[in-house]
Amino acid sequence: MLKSTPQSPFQDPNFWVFHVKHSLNHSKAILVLTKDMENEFRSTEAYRGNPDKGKIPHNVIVLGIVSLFTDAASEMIYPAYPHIYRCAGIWYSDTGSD
Amino acid sequence: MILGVIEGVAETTAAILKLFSGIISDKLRKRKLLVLIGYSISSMIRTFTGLVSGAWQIVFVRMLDRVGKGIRSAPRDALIASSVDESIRGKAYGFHRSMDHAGAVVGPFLALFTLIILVLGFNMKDTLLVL
Repeated sequence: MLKSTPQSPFQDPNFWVFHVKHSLNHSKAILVLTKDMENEFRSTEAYRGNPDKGKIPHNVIVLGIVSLFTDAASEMIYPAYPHIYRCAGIWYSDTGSD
Repeated sequence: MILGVIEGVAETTAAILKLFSGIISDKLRKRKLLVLIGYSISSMIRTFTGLVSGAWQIVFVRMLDRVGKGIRSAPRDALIASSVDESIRGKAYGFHRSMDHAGAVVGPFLALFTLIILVLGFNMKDTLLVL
């Protein structure tokens, strides 16, 4: 009785099972290695001793200052609104606040 | 009623624009540009408040002021989030909000001092009458 043999290794299901399992194990190994590297980096003096780690970046400080002046300008106008509305012919009652 | 319409139009514009500016900033990936445009519009248009002489002009100025706020808000928050480490995100937002509220405190005092210096000429009696 003749047994049919696959023409190429790609037609053999065992080939694919082996390689998929191998790839999965390889991916797991990479993940573990990456995690180890990250932990190692976090334990180094360069990371722990970084003086800028907990500081607010420069651009956020600048944004805060811009917000301060913008809101100050906005609030400077608010007391003048009753007069502005009256000049424009609108009876002022309450504009609320943001 | 007119006052309600003015404020309603202004605030609705800001609320709608916040949604769209957030989506646009995500697509363009240029948050700083949108923040710059938003702050610039508000700052420039506010100077025209002193020149208004009619209700529709106030609507226009207030609406454009809120347009600036609508454009800048969402990209600014995204910019802050992407600029800081995850561990200090709360600190960064807290700092930004505190500066914003500090502006709300400083503003009326600046207006008062401007009034005293420029209009009333250091006359304390008139100043107290205004207060």
